[in-house]
Amino acid sequence: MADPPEDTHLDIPQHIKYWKRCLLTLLPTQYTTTDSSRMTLAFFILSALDLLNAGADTFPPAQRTSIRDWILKCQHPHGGFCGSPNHRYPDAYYEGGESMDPANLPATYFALLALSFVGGLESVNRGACLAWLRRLQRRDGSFGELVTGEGKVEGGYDMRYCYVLANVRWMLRGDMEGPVGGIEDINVESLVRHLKAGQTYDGGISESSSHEAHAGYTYCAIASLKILNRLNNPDTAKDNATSSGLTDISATIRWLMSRQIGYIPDEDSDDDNDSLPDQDNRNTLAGIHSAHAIPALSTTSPEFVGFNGRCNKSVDTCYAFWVTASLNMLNPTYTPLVNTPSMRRFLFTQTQHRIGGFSKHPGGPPDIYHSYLGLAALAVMKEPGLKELDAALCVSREQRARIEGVRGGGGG
Amino acid sequence: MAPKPSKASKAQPKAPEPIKEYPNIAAFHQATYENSRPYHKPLASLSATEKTHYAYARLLETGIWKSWDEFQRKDFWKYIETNKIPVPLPEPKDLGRDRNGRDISKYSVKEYEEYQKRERGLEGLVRESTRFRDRQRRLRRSGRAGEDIEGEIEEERNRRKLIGVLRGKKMGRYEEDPEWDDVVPIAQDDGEGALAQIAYTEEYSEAMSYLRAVMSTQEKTPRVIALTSHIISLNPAHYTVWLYRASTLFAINFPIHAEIEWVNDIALDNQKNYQIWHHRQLLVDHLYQEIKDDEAKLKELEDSERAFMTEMFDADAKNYHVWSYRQYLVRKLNLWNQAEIESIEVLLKKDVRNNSAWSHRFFVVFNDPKHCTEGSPATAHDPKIPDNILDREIEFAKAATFEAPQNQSPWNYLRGVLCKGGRDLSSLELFAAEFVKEGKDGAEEDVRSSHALDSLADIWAKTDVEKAKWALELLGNKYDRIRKGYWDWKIGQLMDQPVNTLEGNLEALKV
Repeated sequence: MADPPEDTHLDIPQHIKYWKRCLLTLLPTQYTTTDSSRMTLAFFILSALDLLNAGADTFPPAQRTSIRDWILKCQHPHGGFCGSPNHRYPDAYYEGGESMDPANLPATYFALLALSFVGGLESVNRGACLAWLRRLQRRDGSFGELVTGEGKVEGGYDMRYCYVLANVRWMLRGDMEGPVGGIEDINVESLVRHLKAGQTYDGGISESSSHEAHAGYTYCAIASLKILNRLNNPDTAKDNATSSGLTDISATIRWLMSRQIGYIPDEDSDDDNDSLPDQDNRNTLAGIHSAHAIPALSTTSPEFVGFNGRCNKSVDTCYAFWVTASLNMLNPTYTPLVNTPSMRRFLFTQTQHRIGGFSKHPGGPPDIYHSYLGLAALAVMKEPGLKELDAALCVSREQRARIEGVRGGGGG
Repeated sequence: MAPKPSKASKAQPKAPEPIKEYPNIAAFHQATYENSRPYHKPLASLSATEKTHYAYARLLETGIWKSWDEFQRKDFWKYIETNKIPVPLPEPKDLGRDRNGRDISKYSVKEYEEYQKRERGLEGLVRESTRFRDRQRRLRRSGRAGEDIEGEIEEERNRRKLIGVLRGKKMGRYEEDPEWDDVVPIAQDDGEGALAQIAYTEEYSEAMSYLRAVMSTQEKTPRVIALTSHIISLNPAHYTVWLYRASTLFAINFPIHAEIEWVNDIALDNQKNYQIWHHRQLLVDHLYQEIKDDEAKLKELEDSERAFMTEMFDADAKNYHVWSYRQYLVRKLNLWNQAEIESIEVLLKKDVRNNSAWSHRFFVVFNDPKHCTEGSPATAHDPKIPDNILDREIEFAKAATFEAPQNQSPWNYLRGVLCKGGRDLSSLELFAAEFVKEGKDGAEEDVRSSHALDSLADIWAKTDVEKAKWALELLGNKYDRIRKGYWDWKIGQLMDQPVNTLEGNLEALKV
């Protein structure tokens, strides 16, 4: 397979600059809509720098300490973490046992991971957090994102919550069976049943089997099974066949592979009207989505390959991660089956931004979320210059090993 | 009583037209200062009388005369008035900067006069406002809040607006509003080392600090509805403000239809937001309890919800949150009906590639309690489904495939329907072959759909491995080169494990 031309590459110094800017300066006001997930952004910033070999271990010790203190400050007194300081009241408010603004499950996952970079996992109130996880589980095995003061589980039916739950549990319980510190485990069997029931008729996975398959949810379900040690790849399919794995892995592989779509840069216009390209042009567009193209069959091999998240949708940087990481977890030998040179070419020339970072769509401005997942996708594909990624945890393998060294261990 | 020194200063010669004479207030003050000290020059240059006047001026300045008895003072002041000795003024102080950062010493004399007048006015207003707050606090303490004379609150509101204008800095929306005086805002405490800090607007910071305050006391009143609307307009992804709003709505019996109207606008403006749709579910759950026995009202709700979703789909027919909500609604209002299927067909007519619509059709057809096994997952055979429904769905998908052979949605749909019906994929062979004509006698093959080839490869894998390989090679080398790695891998699976194929393994796995 040919490599992309010399001039297209991952501009590592620019990416480091981009993330340092995110680390050290105020984010613009437009980020106000992400104010409740600042912990998520914090994780992306620390982990991106780690992938780029410029992580927290290179920060001055005082900076690491103050970052750690900030993250721990967002810890909810009754277990779990808040999504940002805006959800965390001064300590005195909780003295009467009120939950005030409750802790949030995704925030807890991102806080724990972020802490792992600056060294503070041992300061987490492990018992309270594990007890709180149990309260987040619904009868059908799924998880919500928070428990209200009245004890009601809230949040949609969303595979993302199962995924972050599985990871939080893994980080705080280790591989221990049975109660930890007197706290019972969540109901793993019903969670696994719920995950498996998310497979849809076309092979992908959704929030439930009756909804449309989505690459993000597909990743979340596969990663949850992986981290719960219940994802059996075809080579070991016979073990635990009744309680583990996906219902139909070959269908899932086909579905994931189908997420690759050709991309034709739209040079002359960027208007969003629905005008169709002329017939000749249309016939040359094979499974290719430019802004207005209707795919027809073609025998050409596209120069740029992006990924969509659902059938017949357009390219988006983040799906490069959700798809390649899913394949990687099913079996690491599946990842190279992806059209890697065209995928790299797409990311490097179409969504990599000259100020560093990646945009969602070609031509857009970079943002923290897509910049991280762009890097993560490349790290799954073993991009030179980046640390290799642990697809399930979405941090470098090195970082995962570091977490394994402290999780379930000291403190708690 | 001694006359005040200010009276004495009147004696000094006034600048006739200071506005013209002095470039700015600092110069005027400097001149006034110098005028008040005419004897402040080398003593030797003063005449004997001037020296005496100077001595009196010094006495004035030190204030020593205040310790004298009345007779002495009278004498002293008489001399000063008679000789028009000016009271020495203190050295002019730096006037500092105004609220816009302008150096006050650069003001013209007239500007400075106006400035002082404004400041005095402002002080008065602030005093009034403090009195108002104290009064209100007392009223609240004695449990008489709100029984105040009508108009006073409005007057105070205007007063605060005026204070804002005079200060050159508008007060925050809640700080300005007397109705919020009883709430002590809780500011956000970020501390050091904060990550992902955002350049909040003052408006947002203030509103959030009031939200934290009302949530901490669990206040559920109409003004909380207004506050949460405000927060939502700035940060619709706030994960608890929606829940808090909903519980407030229900607590005060807020009209649900009005809330739905409001949330419609928010949804149209925030296509990607999930919380809106969860909120809508809570609203419909609540409303449903009230109207569940009233068929006309249920029908009305069904129609208005469908109409609104159509509006949402006009902007984005694949909006995931809307489709999630729609599934909820189908279950809630029992919409397993022809109208639901027809409304999906309208969307598919507009865009036959709308995979969300295909998925929804699958959901509506294969979860209808009239002819489906409850809880049967999408990937499982459901023996309860009648053949006529399976046939209808197969024909529907086939027709769509003829319309756009390279559209993967109906191909996936066909596989799904076959699985539901427990029918074999091979039943599609003839149909798929419509799009794949093998070239006879060395002629080139005629392929119109890579998905047809894919289906045939799967069908032939069980009956004719060579043909399956031919199809997979065509895909990898010609008709779907983008996925060459995958098709080659499939060939490997086919050739290396003719008996124990991946599919074979998985077949064994299916429970």
